[in-house]
Amino acid sequence: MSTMHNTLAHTEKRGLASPHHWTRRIPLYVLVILFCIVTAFPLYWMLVSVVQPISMSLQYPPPLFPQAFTLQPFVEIFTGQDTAQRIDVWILNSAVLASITTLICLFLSVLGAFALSGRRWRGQAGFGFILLMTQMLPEALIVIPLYATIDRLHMKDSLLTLALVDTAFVLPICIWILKNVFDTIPNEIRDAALVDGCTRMRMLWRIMLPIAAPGLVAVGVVAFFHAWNEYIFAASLITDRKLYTASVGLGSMISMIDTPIDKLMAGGLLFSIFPIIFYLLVQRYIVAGLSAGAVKG
Amino acid sequence: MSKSTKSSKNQKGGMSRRDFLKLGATGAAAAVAPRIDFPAFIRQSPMDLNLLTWFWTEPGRGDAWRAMIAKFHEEQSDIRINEAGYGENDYFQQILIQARSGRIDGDLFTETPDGFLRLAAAGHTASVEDVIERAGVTPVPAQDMLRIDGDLHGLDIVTVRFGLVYNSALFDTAGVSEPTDLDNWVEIATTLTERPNQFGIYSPHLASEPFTVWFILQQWAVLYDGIWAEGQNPLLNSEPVINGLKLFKTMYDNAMPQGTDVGTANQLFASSKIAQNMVVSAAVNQWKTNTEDPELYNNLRSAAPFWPGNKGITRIHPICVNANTEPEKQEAAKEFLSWLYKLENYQELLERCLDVIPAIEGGIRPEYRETLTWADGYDATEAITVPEVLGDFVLFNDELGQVVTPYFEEILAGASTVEDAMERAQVDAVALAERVFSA
Amino acid sequence: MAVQATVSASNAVVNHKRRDYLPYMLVLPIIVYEAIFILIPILQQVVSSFTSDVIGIGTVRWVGLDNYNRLFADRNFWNSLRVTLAFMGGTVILSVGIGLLAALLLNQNFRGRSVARGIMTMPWAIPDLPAIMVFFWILNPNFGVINLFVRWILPIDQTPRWLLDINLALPLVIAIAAWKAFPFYGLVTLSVLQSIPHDLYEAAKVDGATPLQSFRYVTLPELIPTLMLMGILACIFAFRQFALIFLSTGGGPARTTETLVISVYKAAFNSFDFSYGATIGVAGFVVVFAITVLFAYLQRRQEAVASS
Repeated sequence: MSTMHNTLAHTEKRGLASPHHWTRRIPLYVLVILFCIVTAFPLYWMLVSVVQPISMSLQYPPPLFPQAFTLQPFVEIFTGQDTAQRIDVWILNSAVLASITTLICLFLSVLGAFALSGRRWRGQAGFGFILLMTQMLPEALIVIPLYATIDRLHMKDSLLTLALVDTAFVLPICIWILKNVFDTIPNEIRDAALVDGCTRMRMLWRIMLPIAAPGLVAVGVVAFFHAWNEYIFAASLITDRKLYTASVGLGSMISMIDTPIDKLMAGGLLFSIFPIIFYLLVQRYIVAGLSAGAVKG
Repeated sequence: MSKSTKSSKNQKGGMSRRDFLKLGATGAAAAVAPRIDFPAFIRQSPMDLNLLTWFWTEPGRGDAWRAMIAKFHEEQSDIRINEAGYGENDYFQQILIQARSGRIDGDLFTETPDGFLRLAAAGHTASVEDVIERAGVTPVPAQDMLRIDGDLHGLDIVTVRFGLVYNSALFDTAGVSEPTDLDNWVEIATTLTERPNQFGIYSPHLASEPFTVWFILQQWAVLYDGIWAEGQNPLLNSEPVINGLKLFKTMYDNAMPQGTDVGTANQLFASSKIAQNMVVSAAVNQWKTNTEDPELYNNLRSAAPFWPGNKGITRIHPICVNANTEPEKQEAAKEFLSWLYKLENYQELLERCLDVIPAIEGGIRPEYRETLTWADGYDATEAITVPEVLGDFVLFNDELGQVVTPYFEEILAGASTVEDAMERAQVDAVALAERVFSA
Repeated sequence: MAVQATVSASNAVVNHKRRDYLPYMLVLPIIVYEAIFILIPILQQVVSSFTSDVIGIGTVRWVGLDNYNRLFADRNFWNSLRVTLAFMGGTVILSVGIGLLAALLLNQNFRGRSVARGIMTMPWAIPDLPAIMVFFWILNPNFGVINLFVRWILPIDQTPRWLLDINLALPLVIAIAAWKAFPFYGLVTLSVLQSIPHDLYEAAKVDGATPLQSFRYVTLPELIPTLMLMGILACIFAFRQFALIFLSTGGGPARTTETLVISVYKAAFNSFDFSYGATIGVAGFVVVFAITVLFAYLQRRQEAVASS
């Protein structure tokens, strides 16, 4: 905790200590604004393409600002006759899936990170290596045997199963992030708690987790995005159309000859907006969390 | 959580299933008899059947099927059909993953002609020969391709044919009429093109849509009365194939919105920015309800065949009964199909789907056919089936497509000539043939 | 300090007395978990690469090294390997590089910094499918807005065909992948930058260092361990990148963006040749594995240099 405060204090002080004249900062502002425009342009373009009638986007030169306004595609994706083909159902499924994934992932990554961060033990490097290895084979390859296993266990068509699978893929990176955060907690604090008679699990729960809270948020966001975005497993493990996640639902709108591109765009925008809002809400914790991880204890 | 509901459903099904099996044992009589007195508890717990198809997500067709199934549920309460499946873009892969794991996870499923042959060969389809008898209809001869050892293993549920759909309003504005031959066609397409906002024709060509590209590209060789393979011999460097690709390249350079995906191109077509589309009859459905231009649908026509041979690839998509489920489920699935294939139900389905090529004798009502102003060209085109176009490669359609499409992209990018690229493609295809046919 | 030493010593004594089982109990569920969902499937695929397992061709049977012989003779495999290395190299350098640049900018003190941070890191939050859909339209050769921008800047009338261009497809896909990936690396870098003690910069300033020099001698040494680690991760993520490439170019045109992962997918799901897909996958695994070991070696050497 104190380390983090120091970091923040440094940043504040730096600002006050170096009062540059504003004209000298023009290049910086230009650079920042350019950077922001290039980064955000695709998102802006998505918005423009969705709010105006689609044929206006499909002409040259394309208007840089919306020339008309329509909500027709949005109305259609919310009020389809086909109840399974509704974006609100998909988004809800995605939210449930991403939340379950986040919870399982948080729990397991705390265990893994605690094991990796404490005193050295035989096999620690091996464990880290196994985690890294799980990331080295493409999902497309694992889906085949995994589908067979899950089908045999009759675990298909369940968001819980999907959350378990998604967790398996994102867990190693979460453990890595959280381990770095745990590493920053000074040994004095841990040892003091142990001397006071805490068990190690109690020390983890009472002392370390509160300190590592921003790191937990960062891990949560990584897990949430992964599950929200995941397509390959969701597509093969979910056949029940009522359980489609947003990625699979949108994917299912793509067909060989009659993809409704306007609805797909509108759905794509909604699909993007939720993680963006979620991200903006928690982003200050993310930097703090990663920052805590970067400070050497 | 969904798991628990699923397992409780299974238990309920377990009770009725045994009794249903007994009924099934009394033979087809059970199915033919108009009224069967089921015990009360069976009526309360109908047999659930999962119907795997990509239709559910197709705009017009999905609603048509939902309406038919609602009707089926109204007329009887012993069998319930549930929607299952995937979007068309990965339906076929997913079904194969399922097949790979032992069995397909559905009681009924639909397939493409080539996908069907592959799954039928692997024993996933049950014979549906008796369904025809129960429904009392006669399948058209094209359905013979669905016969395994003489028995039908699937029932054609939508036939599509390739043809040239065009927007007659744009033709009128440009002062052109239907093409008379291929050279004339190139001229017309070029006349209709006013870059950057109007294009003479569209045909898929993106590497990100390889299946669609290959599926439609096949027709371009048929325009020169060619085929892509004969038996086990690929014909990729044969004259008709080379001419077809050259024609494509000419059209691509002169008249196509290059780099446009199929979904976007359909939107352009709907906004009258593309004049012609080389496409299957089933695609017309999507332009029926066009909010931007209500006149568009009425302006659609299909060109009478103007190419050598007058042939259009005709693809029949069967619905199949899964051979690897419990016998009573198969029995119930056939029961549903017999209902669906009854003449009046079939006609209704065909009309709701806006289809034009019937799979059974008398499957299309003349009154309905007259309302389809865009269908004459499709009707005048002679059918050529997928096995005729691809030879034995019909079992390895996607593999052959994967050999062809990268070379096709090379041609479009101008990186090599058609002759040179197809010469190399032929070598690859021969290697493919050695691998797949020697086993 | 003295207290700490004592405590550590007492812990050490405890350790000598009985083995500490806690870490094993902590990692056991994770190992079991990863084994079920990933490690065993990986093993199954390794086994599968020694069989012939094609839907529609016979039954599954043992074929020894046949698949590997086919692999080494397969032109397309070598092409995929080249494309993979180019894609990995390009994406890693670009995404980590831009991430570093973004972090340096965001580490400056200026008005609206938190807004800029929100905007610059947003691509991370956008799912692949919508991102590709919009890039597809931006890059459309006919009505894509990029044509408009290019004609503003360059005096040309004929713009390239972007993703259809054999020479441009791979660089464009790399750029899209980097756009999507740089925010994560930027955030990690930013967090390191913010943890560098300010006194170091002050001292450098007193010594008369230019901003560039203080970056070279103060910032960079602090960053290198993190950059190394991010390099490993970025390599692995780039290797596994599937959705972006698959949706934007599908590996084309003419296989110019067909990475190993795309080849795996095509072999397994388009040719239904699961065993050959597995073979390509195993080959890819070996490649990433080698790169990871190389990075780990470099990192260790770098640490050794730093500590000496």
